[in-house]
Amino acid sequence: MAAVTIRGLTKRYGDNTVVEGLDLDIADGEFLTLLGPSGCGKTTTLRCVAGLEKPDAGEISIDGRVVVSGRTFVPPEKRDAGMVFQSYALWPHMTVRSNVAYPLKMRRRPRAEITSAVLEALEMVGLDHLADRSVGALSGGQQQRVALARALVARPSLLLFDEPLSNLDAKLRASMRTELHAMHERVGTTSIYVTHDQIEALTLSDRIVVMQHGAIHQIGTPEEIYADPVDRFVADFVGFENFLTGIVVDVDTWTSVVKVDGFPTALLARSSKHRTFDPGDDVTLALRANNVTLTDFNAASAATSTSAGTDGIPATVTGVAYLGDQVEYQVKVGAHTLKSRMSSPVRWAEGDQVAVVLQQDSLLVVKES
Amino acid sequence: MTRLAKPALIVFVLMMYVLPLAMVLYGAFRTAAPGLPGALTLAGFAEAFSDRRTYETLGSSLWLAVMTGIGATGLAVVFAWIVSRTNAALRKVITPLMVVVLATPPLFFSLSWNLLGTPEFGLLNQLLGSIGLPGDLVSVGGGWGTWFVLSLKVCSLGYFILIGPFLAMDRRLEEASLISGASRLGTFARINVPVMAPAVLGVFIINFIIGLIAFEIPLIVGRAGGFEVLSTQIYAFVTNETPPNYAAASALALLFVVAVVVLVAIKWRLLDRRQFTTVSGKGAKPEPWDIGRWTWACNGFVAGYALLAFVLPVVQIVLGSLQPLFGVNDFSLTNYEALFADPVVLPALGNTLVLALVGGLLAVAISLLLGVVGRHGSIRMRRTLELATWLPWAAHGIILGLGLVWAFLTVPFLRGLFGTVWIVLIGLIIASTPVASRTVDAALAQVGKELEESARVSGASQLRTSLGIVTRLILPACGAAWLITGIQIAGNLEVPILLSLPTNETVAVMVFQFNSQGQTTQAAALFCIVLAAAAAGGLLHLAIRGVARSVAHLKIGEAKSWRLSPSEA
Ligand SMILES: Nc1ncnc2c1ncn2[C@@H]1O[C@H](COP(=O)(O)OP(=O)(O)OP(=O)(O)O)[C@@H](O)[C@H]1O
Ligand SMILES: [Mg+2]
Repeated sequence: MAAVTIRGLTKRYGDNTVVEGLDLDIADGEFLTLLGPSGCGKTTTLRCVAGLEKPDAGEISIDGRVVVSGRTFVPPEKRDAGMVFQSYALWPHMTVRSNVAYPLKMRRRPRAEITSAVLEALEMVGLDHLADRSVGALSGGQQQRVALARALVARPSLLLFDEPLSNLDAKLRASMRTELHAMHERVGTTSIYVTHDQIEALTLSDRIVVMQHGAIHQIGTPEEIYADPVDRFVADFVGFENFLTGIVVDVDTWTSVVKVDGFPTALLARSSKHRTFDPGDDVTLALRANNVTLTDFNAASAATSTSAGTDGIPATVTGVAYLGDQVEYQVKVGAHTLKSRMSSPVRWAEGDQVAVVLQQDSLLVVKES
Repeated sequence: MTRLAKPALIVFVLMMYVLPLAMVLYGAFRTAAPGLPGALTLAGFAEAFSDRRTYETLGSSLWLAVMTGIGATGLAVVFAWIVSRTNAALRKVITPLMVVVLATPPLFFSLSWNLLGTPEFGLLNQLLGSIGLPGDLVSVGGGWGTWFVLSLKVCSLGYFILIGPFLAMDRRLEEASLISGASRLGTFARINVPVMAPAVLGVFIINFIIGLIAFEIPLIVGRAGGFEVLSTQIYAFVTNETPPNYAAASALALLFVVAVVVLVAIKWRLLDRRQFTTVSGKGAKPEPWDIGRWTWACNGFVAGYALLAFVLPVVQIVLGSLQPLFGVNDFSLTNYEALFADPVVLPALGNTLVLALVGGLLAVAISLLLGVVGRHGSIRMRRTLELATWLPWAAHGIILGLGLVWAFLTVPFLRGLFGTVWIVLIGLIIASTPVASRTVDAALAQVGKELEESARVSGASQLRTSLGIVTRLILPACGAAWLITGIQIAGNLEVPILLSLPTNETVAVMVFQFNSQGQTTQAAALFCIVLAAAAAGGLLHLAIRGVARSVAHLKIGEAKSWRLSPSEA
């Protein structure tokens, strides 16, 4: 097991800078996920750590040993890592057993040890009964397990995963996710996991790194990322759907009061831990759709809601989508469009007047990214 | 790869593939024959380009190039289309047929069509005569005959380049266009044609180049009808003049080299970058159109081609080899007996066999080395290596031979090798590298990069990965490449015709000599021996693959039962 340190990692393809000055520390035994939209440089970062790609600048060390820096370059086979590829990359001319035994053979382990270690690894992924199958005769999920066993078998100090579940169907993906989690609990190897699936990132990771355009937006535990995104990009990525821009009118330690054009009253919002604001600042408020509730429009209640509270803002329904157990409404408040998700059945139709209630504490002030 | 290995490889490649060409350039400016003291001059150019015949042959060469481009590309497109887009029953025989045509040396086609097209005596004319038509209806001598035979032979190469893109072209692309409201014809014009255009144009350029540099078929088929092209003219400068006019030959050769290099460059610039992005392979499943009554036209076309390119030539050459005099239907083994009684034939056969086996193996090994290195090197390195192995193509056969003559007689420490079998071997390896290398590259392209990367991460070194994973995976393809390259070498006339001496002649040269001395039936018999050996090699190859496959099955089966028994017990 090993800690990994990345400093100033930069990788270019021609004029295209894919990763730029990336700094990252991964603790011993940690499960870290790189999350981000397609093309943001996740795979490239992972391949630099594996040694499959030579960075243009920067330094990487694994377990205190510098593997890339200036002219130093430790080739992949000397980095003691295991990797699970998106395409599984099983060697078609070998059986399941020989595929899994390969890393041990390369490490020149004695025969008896290889036999038992391979069996153990295959038992761990539940495939010991298929050891002598040719890998061509396996289903996608089984191939994925063999790839996992191969990555684990030599007990490498670092495990690397590049979207290992993306070729599987939704059901299998969910069960493999659980298995991967259990496996990490058991083995505890430092792991770097690349995905653009939010759920995978949230359920598996100790910490998540959210990337865009080859740079890091936020690093944090799943809870931090989910509840407290630093900026609009991260908030958008973890499922905030409503964004309102406004001006700060008052602040204290935990909350800010923000005036948003078109809303009858100023809104009370939680300040992000990551930044303090001053009155007069332009800010963005982020809000999840299921924190926006609608009630029947009632002229009397609308007239009385004059406090800094957030209930009963008059609005018009502009769209309704039935999602099964939930219904998604689009409502217009002044010039703003908000999305609201509530449990079924459908209660309003397009054109209805409603009152919008924003749940206490659900508004979050984020940086405009 | 260590630091020294890379420069060493580049030097090796330059020596093998670039030096001979450079020597042609050098030779074009020399007054004296290779190896003799002389000065630099433009006399060679003056002589070659003041001759009016040069311009005539240049015209003929260009005509042949354009026509071969059209003819061979057209055939290749039709066959690729039949295989990928129709349900004609005979489409299944096209690929095997094309393998055979591709692997068979041009010498075979020239010999047998030369016989087939002989007025009155050729098989074709006899057949036509027997149904009451004039017996000299078919005559292949001359330009049209050359074009016809060349197109029959050369379309096989284009077919293998096109079949991949044609099969990979997703039917969805066409369906999406139909659904968007385009007609069948509109779809063909707006979708199929643009999508396939880069690949087809690429094949056209390749066929154009082949038409420009072809040697054996114009030499044997064309010359019989007074049709001269540049390559035969170069050959004439060296063999028909005493002393051989190497300078004029080189000056002409240079014209070729420039033309071909320019064409290859055009092809790269225009096409290669696009070619890989034209067709999406994902989820593509070729589904044939049901073409109804047109099936018969397609089947007829395939059958006609098989007859002309394979069945008739083989029957003719076998029949011819059994005739004492061509056209005399008095079959016996006299020719074979005479051949085996001839003291020079057996050594030549042995010599050719060794050249084919050793040269083929080395050419495949070099191709594999360059392919594997190119896979990991920078784009620039890959391009350099690729260009180097394409060069002998530019300087095909006769020019390569010329370059090697210059190289071996001018470079001091190589001079000792002149006249030995080594120079022939080297020439044949160089000449067959393009074929070997295309075959090996195609196989290498099938090995996904991640298969290699996972081995590296598992702890295997670069070398070990290249040998244990990549080479192991493409081993069967390497076997096939060896076989095909070996056959190319055995049938190659262009290289040994200038480089070998009577003491180390190859069968191809001997066949050519028999043929030009009018002993056509002996030539046919000798070539039949080569064909038989090649066919035996092909069968051996299939047998080995079959055995390897069943051994693999056995092993897995054994291992399975070994695994099962303890748990059952
Ligand atoms: N070999 C290459 N040559 C040129 N550009 C490349 C190469 N590999 C990747 N890129 C570019 O680098 C960028 C980052 O690629 P990378 O594969 O790291 O993205 P990613 O975050 O893994 O995306 P995805 O989620 O789609 O896998 C992309 O814009 C890609 O086009
Ligand atoms: Mg990726």
